[in-house]
Amino acid sequence: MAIKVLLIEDDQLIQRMYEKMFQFAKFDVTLASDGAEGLDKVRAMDPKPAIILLDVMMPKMNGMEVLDKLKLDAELKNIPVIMLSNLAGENDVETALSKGAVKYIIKSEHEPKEIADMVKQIVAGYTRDDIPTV
Amino acid sequence: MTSDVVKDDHLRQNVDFIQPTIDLQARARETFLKSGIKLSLVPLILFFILDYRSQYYLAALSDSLIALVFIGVLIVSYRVKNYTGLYNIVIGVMVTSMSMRLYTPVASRSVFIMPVIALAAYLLLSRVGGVAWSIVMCGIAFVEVMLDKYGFFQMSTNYQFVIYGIMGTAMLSALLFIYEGMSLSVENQAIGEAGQLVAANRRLDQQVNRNSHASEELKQALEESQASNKKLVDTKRAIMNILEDSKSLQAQLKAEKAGVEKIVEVRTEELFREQTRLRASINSLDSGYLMTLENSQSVVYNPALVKLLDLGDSVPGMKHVKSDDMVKLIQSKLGDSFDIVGALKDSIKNKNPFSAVNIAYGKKFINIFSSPIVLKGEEDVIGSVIMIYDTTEAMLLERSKDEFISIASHELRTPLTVIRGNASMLTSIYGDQLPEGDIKDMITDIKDSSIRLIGIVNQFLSTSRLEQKRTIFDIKPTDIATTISSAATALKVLADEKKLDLKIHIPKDLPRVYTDESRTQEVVVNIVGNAIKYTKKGTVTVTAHVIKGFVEVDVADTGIGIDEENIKLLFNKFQQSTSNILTRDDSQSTGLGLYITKLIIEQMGGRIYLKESTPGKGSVFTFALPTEKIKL
Repeated sequence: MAIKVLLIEDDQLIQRMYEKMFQFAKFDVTLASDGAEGLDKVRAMDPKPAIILLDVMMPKMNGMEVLDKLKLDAELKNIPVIMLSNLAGENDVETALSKGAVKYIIKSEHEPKEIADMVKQIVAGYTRDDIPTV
Repeated sequence: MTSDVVKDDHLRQNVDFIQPTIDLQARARETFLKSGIKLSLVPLILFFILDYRSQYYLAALSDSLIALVFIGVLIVSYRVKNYTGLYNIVIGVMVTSMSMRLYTPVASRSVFIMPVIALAAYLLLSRVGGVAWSIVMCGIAFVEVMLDKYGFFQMSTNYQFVIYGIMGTAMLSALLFIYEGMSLSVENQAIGEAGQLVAANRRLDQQVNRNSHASEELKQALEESQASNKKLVDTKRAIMNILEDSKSLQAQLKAEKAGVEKIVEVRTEELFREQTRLRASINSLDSGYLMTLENSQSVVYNPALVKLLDLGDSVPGMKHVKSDDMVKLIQSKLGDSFDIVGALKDSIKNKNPFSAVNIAYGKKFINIFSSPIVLKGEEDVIGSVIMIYDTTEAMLLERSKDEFISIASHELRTPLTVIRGNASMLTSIYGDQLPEGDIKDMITDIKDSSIRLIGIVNQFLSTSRLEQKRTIFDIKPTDIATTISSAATALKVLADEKKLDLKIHIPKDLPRVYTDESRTQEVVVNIVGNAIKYTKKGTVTVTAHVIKGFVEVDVADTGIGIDEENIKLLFNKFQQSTSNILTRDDSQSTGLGLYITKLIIEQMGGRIYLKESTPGKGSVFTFALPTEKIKL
């Protein structure tokens, strides 16, 4: 059964790159181009995605706000969220993890295949403590 | 001297008073002497005549001798002024000798009686005794006359003559004694009075003596008084001199006081000017200034403080604000952002300044610096000077700069991520569809360049954050051997690629170091990576040892080494192994690696330096990390 992934990413080039990678990895990928759209889609999705890949800097609603809303929603709060961003500040990482993200990935530091492998690991049932957070 | 004169006057008056009595006494004694001689010689002469007529010549001679003795006794009595006793003895002896001549039984009785009576009279030593003796003598004679008259005893004519003579003698003696008594009475009275006078005189003398003594004491007291007076005079004179000196001194003091007042006035003016200048300087400061004084009713602060902290109407007036009230007012404005009351208390207690930076104050950010005021030569802190700076703009600028770098890094990374990702996917996913040769190599170059570019971006970002000290370090006890081994795993690949021998010799018993493990790995990767990068052949050796609270890690290589002129520039920003910034080496590095490493090590409390280097032979880089927790 394909892993159902929601990718919330505003940069079209990156979105397309990860879409190709995830498709190659046999994931069921749903795309959203900003935070608000992503939040709407996750609420509408049925079944819910197994994991959400969430960019931080986005129009309309940034990734942190989306994360807050996800964690406040009883139906959505248990969906693991990987923050996927090129913001590399320690504060950004700390903030995201404190809000409930399972991992903070700096996109430029990892190739798409590595990210697909991390998604598989998390969905496969690794707890948050078992995997590196960054 | 005066008392002596008084005493003499008294004596003279007493002598004048006593003199008539003394004269009277002398006359009585002369009378007594003359009368006694006359009256006593009468019977003796009669006896002499009688004895001579009776042809008792021896008796007559005896009578003459007795008369002479009697007269001698009287004269001696007169001389020694004692008459009664001796006179009675003489009379008794004389009468006894006359009675012994009678040779009659009756007369013989008188021989035994008369000496006893004479002895009694002598013992009595008084005129009474003499009178009594005479009366008795007279009585005896009278009895014998009566015995003869009434026939009991026949006296011869001579004997009768003797008896009558005795009687007459006794009578005359009685009269003499009476007279003597009278004379003696007068004498005794005079003597008594004289005695009284003498006693009075003695008392007077005593009084005079006492007076004299008193006078002596008075004299002594007077002398002492005079001496005291003299002293008083001297003292007075001395006081007068002192007063004179005092006046002189007072005048001098007045002059000096005037001089001092003038100096004080000048100094006060200078102080006022200085204070005015100081006040103007303080008031002209852009930053808030506050000087608190212990137990003071007032504080010194400037308008900038009021404006910066928006104190406005909260300050009732410059002259009515107490230090404590001002600090409490500021604390109320600061809220929970900063405990300025506690910080000031600790600062004063420990006599240490304190600083607090980037404190949120409403929409502003402020820095607070305070230093206790300790007067020179004293230990007590008398207050504090507090400077408060508005760092809002600086903070915004800093934040803007940080945000700029952060956003710029983000924006740079995004296309690089796409380049790297797609290049990577081309080779990993579609690699089998690509023709071997140039196209594949070109895609690999694109990927490597993107990775390198991402590395450069990361270094810029790290440099910026380290310089701003915004990098967060997770300092905790760390096993340096494990840290180096973890880093060396990735480095081994690089070393193997260059066919270098990477040796790691870390003792297992090294103490733990206080450091951020991931940052330390970054340091190891950088230093050992540089060693590998600049070594074409040979070995790269990593060793460690303990030295004075630090674990020192030496990274030695057999590389190109560093010229002496470049050593001092080694840890500078953008510095490579060459001295000219336009001349780059072939390592394709940015020249930020050692600079970043130095910042990381130092911000973790460690140190890094080039231990030794020989061009063409290699270098030894050393970094040290503390084994004890250091307050950063």
